[in-house]
Amino acid sequence: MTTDNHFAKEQHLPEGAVLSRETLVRRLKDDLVISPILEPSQVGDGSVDISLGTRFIRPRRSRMPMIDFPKLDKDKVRTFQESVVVPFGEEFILHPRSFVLGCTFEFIALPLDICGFVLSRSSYGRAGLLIATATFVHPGWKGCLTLELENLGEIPIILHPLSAVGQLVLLNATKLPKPPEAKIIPVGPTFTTINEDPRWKKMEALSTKTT
Amino acid sequence: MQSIDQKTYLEVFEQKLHSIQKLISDLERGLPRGISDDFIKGLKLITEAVETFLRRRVANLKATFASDPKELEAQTAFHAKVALRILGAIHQQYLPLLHAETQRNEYLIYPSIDRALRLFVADSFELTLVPSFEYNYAFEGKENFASSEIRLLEGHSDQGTMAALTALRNNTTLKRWITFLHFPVADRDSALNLCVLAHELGHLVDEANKIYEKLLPIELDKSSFDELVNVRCKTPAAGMGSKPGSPQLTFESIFTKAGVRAQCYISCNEFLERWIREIIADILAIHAIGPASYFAFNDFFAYMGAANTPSKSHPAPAFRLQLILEELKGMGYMGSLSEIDSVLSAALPRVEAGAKSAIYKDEAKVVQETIKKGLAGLLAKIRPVISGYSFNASAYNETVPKVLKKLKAGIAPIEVLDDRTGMMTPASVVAILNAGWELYKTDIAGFYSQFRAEVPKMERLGNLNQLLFKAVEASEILRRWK
Repeated sequence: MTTDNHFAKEQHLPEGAVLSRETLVRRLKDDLVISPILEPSQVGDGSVDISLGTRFIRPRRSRMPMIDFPKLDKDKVRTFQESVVVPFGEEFILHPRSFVLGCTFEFIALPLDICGFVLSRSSYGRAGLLIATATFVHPGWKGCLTLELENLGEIPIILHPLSAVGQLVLLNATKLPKPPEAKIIPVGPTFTTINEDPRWKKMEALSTKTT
Repeated sequence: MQSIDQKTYLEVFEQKLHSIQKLISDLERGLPRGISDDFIKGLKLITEAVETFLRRRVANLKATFASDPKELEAQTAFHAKVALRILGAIHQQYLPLLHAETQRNEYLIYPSIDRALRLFVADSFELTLVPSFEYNYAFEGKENFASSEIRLLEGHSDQGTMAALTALRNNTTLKRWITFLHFPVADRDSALNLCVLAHELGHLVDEANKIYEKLLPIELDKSSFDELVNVRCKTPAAGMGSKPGSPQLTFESIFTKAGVRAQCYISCNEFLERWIREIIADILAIHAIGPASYFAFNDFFAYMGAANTPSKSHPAPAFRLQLILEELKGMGYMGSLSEIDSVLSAALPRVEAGAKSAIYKDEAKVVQETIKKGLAGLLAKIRPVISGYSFNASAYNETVPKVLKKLKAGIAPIEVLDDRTGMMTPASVVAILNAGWELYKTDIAGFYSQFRAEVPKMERLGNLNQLLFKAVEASEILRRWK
């Protein structure tokens, strides 16, 4: 089968169809960016293994009594979380029932007709390491993905930058008419910006009306 | 009689030795493995040597001056002061460097800098990046660190102590050069501005290869030197030799013309050596990283509010920028209608006019005339050091456009397609930095347009710098992985 035939076939893939290894390899040479791919074996059928980068956001003890999301501006977030860099060759210890924000080593840029899901690699999951809760990656998204790493086990886990902890499952999507505008093109984990959700203002207005 | 007794000196020594050893251990714990290893090893060696020196000397003095308490007191105090002076140097000069580094080492760019340097420096060296609040970039190199400090102690030692210190010195092998690159904290998040570091690295290459020694001495420009001597001879020597009410004495009347001439000769040569070393570093940097070095320097001078006047240590900024741009021209830049060439070509007349308007007086005038006349010869001796790695216009045109294309699209340009092999290869760090500058200088509005309207302009620029840092870091890992 020629490449053209492949392309024609792919264009008729139903939305939500998982992309084959062959398609992924071809799109990686074209408009799909997952960079760098250190080992060809990272690219599998339907997914690409993603590894841990060097930047983390870790929790720290704080005087802040509680988290109230509508009031959680960026200065407040930084009172109980801080950025750290763990150089290659160094390690980060994740203690039981604690979490840290990491990021992918790979820089990812999805074309307008591909979306993705981030999943833990089962080998790590079986040892108690979960890597993501916000798993959907939109078509046209660019950057290094934030990974929410959590140790569900009873003993500490050593995190090594460059270890392939997760996988990005890629699927065909309805093509967006134009690239989405970015708020940021992240290259490391990003702090929450939940207080910017417009819903808070409406909720506040609603509660004012009812009182 | 001394105002402080020897007992106090010895007690202070014990306290400070303990606190410095503890500080070194604390700072060492705060650093990742592989950062400043030899520097720390050297600091520990010096403290051990100081301790050995003083303990042995005090024991020896007690035996020698058992019947002369006054002499024992004086000798002990003297040796304790020698030891304290070295501890003071560790405390005040070296520990701040270690402390600054624990705040946040620039781990992401360090491997690339280290690799680049190994191309030009054959000696073993350890490099430490030191962020500082002072807005300045600087290079500090210590050749045979620790040994030189221990030798100071040997000068005050008896035979036994000397043998113990020599044994300490010989039993520890440190890298030949322990070097520090100081950079302003204000620029730590700007890959673009940090390109000034290339100039500081040029100083290390110069120092390690002793390039400046091959260029000096240079004969001073005769007419401007004679003029300086004549002016200096007639200059009133304020506060020297004249009594109140009597006529003001000139330098000539105090030192004679020959004496004034000798003084001028020494001071002009001090200027000259420093200026030559700056020019060497400028030229090495421009060949190493191309236009990025010029742009970064231009911004640096702008922020420094640099007056267009030379100093004892540096030629006038406009003269340096002119030199850099002319060197770029010689490397094939400004020969096309490309966007980068247009930006550089537009800058040249402005810089030339600035260089012409710079004011040179006294020694600076002599040195400027000397350098101007010998410039071609100087450059011809500097260029061969780096010619094999020169990032000339053809290297730029071959590597930067592909990287730039990705960057414009908001993609960290970690790897590019090699047309010859059809394979993805790590992007060169120099190409990444130059692509960053070209984008910033020629099409930053296009880059900014990818962001939502509410994102402030400086956050967008910060994001460009983050993409550059990411590309530098990841391309280096990829290169080493392969």
